[in-house]
Amino acid sequence: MAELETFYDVIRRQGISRRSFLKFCSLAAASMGLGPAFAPKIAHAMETKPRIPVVWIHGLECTCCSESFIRSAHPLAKDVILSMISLDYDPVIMAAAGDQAEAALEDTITKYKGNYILAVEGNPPLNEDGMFCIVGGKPFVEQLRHAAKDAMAVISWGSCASWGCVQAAAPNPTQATPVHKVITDKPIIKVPGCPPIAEVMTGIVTYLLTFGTLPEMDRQGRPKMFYSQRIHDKCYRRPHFDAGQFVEQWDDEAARKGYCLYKMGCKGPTTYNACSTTRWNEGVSFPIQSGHGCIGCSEDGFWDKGSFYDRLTTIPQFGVESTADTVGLTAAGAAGAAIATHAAISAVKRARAGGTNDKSE
Amino acid sequence: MILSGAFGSTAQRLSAATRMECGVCWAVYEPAEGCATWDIGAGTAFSDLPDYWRCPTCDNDKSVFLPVAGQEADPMADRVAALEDAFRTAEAAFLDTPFHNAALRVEAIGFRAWEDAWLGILITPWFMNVILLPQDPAAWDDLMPGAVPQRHILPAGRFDFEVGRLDHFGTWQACSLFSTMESFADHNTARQTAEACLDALFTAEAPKEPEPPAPPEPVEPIDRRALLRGQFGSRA
Repeated sequence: MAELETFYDVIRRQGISRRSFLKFCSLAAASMGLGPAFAPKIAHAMETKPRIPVVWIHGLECTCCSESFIRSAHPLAKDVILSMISLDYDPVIMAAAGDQAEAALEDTITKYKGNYILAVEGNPPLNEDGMFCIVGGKPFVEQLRHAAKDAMAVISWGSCASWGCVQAAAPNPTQATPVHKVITDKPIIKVPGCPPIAEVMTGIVTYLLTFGTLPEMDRQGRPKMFYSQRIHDKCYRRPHFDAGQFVEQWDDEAARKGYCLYKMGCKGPTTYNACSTTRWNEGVSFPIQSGHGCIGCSEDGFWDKGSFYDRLTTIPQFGVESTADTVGLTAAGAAGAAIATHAAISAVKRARAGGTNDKSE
Repeated sequence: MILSGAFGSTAQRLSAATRMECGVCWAVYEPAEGCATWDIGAGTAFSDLPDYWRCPTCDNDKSVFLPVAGQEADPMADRVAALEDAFRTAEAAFLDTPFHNAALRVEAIGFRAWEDAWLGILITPWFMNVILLPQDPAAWDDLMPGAVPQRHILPAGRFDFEVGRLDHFGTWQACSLFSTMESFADHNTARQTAEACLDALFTAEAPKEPEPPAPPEPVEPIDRRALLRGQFGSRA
């Protein structure tokens, strides 16, 4: 493998002080819910490990993931995040175009065989042999398969790559298909959201670089550190929900007082994402804070689940993560007690700041 | 246990030390003394008396007993009862929602003094939360509901609590454990789970051994004369 600069080399070359660098490391640790003890570990990785080569390809998508990513409010912001990884191919933000760009892609695939990360934004349409999305004169699905073959792991950015999103909504004329149904032989990290939160995206990249392994994931393939809690669990309007105070109509007195938006169709109770803790735009706000319900954009098939303003009528407990907790609590008797304890311990872990990932104190 | 009339709703407010008075003959049950007639040991709370227990003087059953007036109030019990009442009132708003589990009722579990607050768990048919109530009712008046989550450190880790306030009740802080409650088959299971949650909250996760501090390096006293002669560090 060719020599690559480390992240630290790059930022020093850009004239960023060591103090700023260490601050970045501790903020990065905090954003991953890892606690201050992990900051030196992150610093060490940044100083010693070469930047990860990343190939970022685009299928059927709207580029909102890229737009989100480059707005990461991480302490050292956009240009540094882009130096942390070595973004060798990304048609949206690379200078090269046309044949030159395609050559860069081939170059990376050969040079870093088995060592690069493939980031996929959007998904391939499979109908008509993939003719609904052509990149460099070939169907996108071929580029995807080709680039995935020698990748170390695949990141599915956004709801398109993770679930299909709007282009896969019924009746899905182009047969848009999420990445994990096309690439079945590589580890895939799904980072759903339309778009995903910028700090979640950079947090996952930081994790990959720091630990050299994939983060712990749930059964749907989402990193637990950002997707183990529902919007509802950590919503700042939750006390209003608890007290039965609901907005009944847009712009009523309750809406002005910031009451719970469940009755206006908020999907917070069924949506797993970090919006209510990390928030958006440097932690300034998130949809519910600006007075609109969550539309559940990081959940599978959210376009086909009725109107954004329809009230939820069923709320599966623990979502897809239903485990011994849900099955067991309906069982009575002596076995019930042991299962109550198990459910209690996982509930307490889930409720903890930083979620299940909080390894330090 | 069924208590008559207005005291039905206050059954849970009786503290273990509450003295109870027969509403018919005014005989007083002293928990500290027990009851020789029925062979009840000293220190038995009124609510722990067996069902067959009757007034030793007039033979009426427990339901006619009332708390003796003028006893020292238990501020935590009063506050927790007010909390339950506040959320019982809210239940109507949930009856037609998928959040409501009709098998459950509003009950506060295991409240205890913790730092300058009372900590416990509140079960309702639509959520189970860890709840903090201020011991000094005015202490949290300057907290803005919805502004900044309050971080508290419990043995099980760091927890963020959201601030809530109701005009007729006051301020509380809550950290969500469950919502919806549909996985609880009956109230007893919810109660067991709440008790187990409290145990888990106050159990530290495999505490790390703090590393013993390194023995201090022996420091050579600096010789002022040598220092001034430029021989610092190598004492001749």
